[in-house]
Amino acid sequence: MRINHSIRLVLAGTALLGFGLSGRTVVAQTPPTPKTTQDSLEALKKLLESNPELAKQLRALLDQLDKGKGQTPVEKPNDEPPIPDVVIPGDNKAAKPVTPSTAPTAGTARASLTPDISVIGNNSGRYISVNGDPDRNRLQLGEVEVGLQQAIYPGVRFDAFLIADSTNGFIARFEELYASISKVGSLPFGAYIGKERLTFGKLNHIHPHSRNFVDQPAPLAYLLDPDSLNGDGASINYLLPIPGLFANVELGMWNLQPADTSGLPRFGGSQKYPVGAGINGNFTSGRLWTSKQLGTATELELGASHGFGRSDIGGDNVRLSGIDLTMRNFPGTFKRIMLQAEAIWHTRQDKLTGTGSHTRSGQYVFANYKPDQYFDYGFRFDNSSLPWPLAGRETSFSLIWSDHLTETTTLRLQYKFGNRSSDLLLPSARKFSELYLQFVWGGGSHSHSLQ
Amino acid sequence: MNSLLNGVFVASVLAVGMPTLATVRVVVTDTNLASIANEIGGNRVVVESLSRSTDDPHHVEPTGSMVSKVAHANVVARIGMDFDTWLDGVLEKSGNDGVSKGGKGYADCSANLRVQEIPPAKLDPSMGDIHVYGNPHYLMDPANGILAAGNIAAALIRVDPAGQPYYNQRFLDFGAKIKEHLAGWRTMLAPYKGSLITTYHRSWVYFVTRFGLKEFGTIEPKPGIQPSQGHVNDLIREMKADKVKAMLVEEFRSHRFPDLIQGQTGAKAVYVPLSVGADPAATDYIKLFDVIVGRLAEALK
Repeated sequence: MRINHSIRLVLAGTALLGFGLSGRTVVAQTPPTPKTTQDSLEALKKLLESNPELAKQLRALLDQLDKGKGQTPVEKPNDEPPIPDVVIPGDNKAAKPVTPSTAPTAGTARASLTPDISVIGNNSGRYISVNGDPDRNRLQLGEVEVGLQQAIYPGVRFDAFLIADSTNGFIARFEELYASISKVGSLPFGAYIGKERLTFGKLNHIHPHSRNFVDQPAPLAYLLDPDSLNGDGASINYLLPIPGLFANVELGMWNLQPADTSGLPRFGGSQKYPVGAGINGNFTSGRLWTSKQLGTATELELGASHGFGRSDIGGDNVRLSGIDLTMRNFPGTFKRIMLQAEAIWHTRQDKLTGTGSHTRSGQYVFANYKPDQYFDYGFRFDNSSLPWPLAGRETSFSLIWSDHLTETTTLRLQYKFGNRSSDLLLPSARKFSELYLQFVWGGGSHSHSLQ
Repeated sequence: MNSLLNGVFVASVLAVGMPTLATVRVVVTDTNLASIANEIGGNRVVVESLSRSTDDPHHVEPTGSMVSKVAHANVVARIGMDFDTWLDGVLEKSGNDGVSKGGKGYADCSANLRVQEIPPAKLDPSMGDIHVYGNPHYLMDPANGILAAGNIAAALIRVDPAGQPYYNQRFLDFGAKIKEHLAGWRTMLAPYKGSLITTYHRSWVYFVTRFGLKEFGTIEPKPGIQPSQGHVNDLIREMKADKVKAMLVEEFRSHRFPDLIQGQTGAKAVYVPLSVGADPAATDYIKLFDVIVGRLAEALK
């Protein structure tokens, strides 16, 4: 940087004046306060004439400035940051201020009342499946989910999940829209109000993009719903005060929509019985979810669910029961061994023709190993019959490979083989093979309540 | 018999009426915070970490037993800055207002932090696992342990005002201890000031800044993204050209690429713990840095 010669003189002179006035007694008289550049020069001249020692010092300073000409200033990018003061934040007696705030500086951000918005896409395809499968050999956007989430009151937040899927021609609908209350007033209860995937069993509440496999396990698809058991209503939950044991009880009353029975066969010449729970209207449900840490690296969860309602066919009573077990072991960083199993019973009391109660059941067992941050490998066994009076059963094995490319992006392959003696969801076949490919991607802040 | 019963009755009344030293239950999200909380809380607290020393505190699966622990906690201390977001679901499920955001017992240990690497206003997942509030690995600067300790002490005083003098004194002692050790670590690394260091993940930004080192690059192409052979080849070429002498790698990372780079460049792969308890020698927050600084200084010789 070039410095004008006279300005340099003024700077040097001013420095010298300051030095002379403050630290030295050799200055014979105090010069008048300089008002202009000319005044400064005059004052400097007089001072130098009266003190040859100061003139030598000034010459030395000017030489130093000349040597440094053209050089860039020395940067100190690695200057050590200040050590935080030993002051408790919020301590009024503290004399010194604490370290700088985490708040962004003005101009970099502003407060926003916009809810957290996220988009999750779930592309999937089914290959080498049996003839008659309408989605065979197609990679398609199976489902897209838009999430809107925000706290709306202390201890209250809303979650809205708008989904559109290929089976409905991508007509958007709210799959879930509920307010969750962590504590109702001073009562020790939490509550959910709105429309949601019901907390029946372990898996029903969990969105497909958060699962460790591509498809809906057979017992859930046949006995609850091909997509999810979903209702509109309210539930309360209570954490039992047992030290060392997590035990959560949830009780809910819901309104369920009738299942789509178009395309299904008629029974007794007139009725179309749906695949799934087949409940229309009120559904009362409860779930006990317990969890216990075993040692330092294992978590064992046990759950039991029960619910009842009525079918729109003859007012049949329908009962659903389920038990589930999840064991997770964490042998090291990123590592996880998981064993999960669920059994569901569907009971229909036939009032229409008076044949009594009919119970059908299904189970799945899932094992998963996650050796590192990026991959996991799974195996699943499904076995389920269809709800009475539908005939058929599916027994299948799946091998699953997942690559977690980022926290929000997953590539997954699932190879499934087995026997299917019903063609109500997919064509029946003995020794069928199916290869599922899934690509889950997403952006934005997205979270689900703990399940 | 009556006198015995009277004695029992009087003893019971006295026992109920006497002020007892309440034990404050502190739950933290990481073992580094557990060590700091123990330093501050001493014998007035019982501290439990939700993650284990072998965990990456960013990748922790919440469990029901965590909910149970948080439900019975008086203080919950977290790293914050979107690092331990898994805690949010646990807090919500616990229904414990006292330790939830805004509660007396809630401590976000990043409060008042001098944040590094605040990202640009527009973020997207293609940038990798970027944290919106900036780089959250601030506990890797031992001086920031003082900050975390201050935030924990403040929460302890709010829930246990009777212990204020005790917590204050222990906090002052801890601050002095950190400063004393910091001087020693600084001396150990002073000869290597300005040295280029490659890291696996951007976990060491605060550390290298504190000790005047320079981060050369990362083995991960972007935070949280799996290293690729192509990226590693580029890194090897650049490290050779710039004569990088060491890599700082968390012990839990895969050794595959660090060992490969070490073989190709001669830069030493320095495997270090990221959390208290992850290494047998890292038994507390100060000893953690004894291990890290000691191994790095040895590698840079």
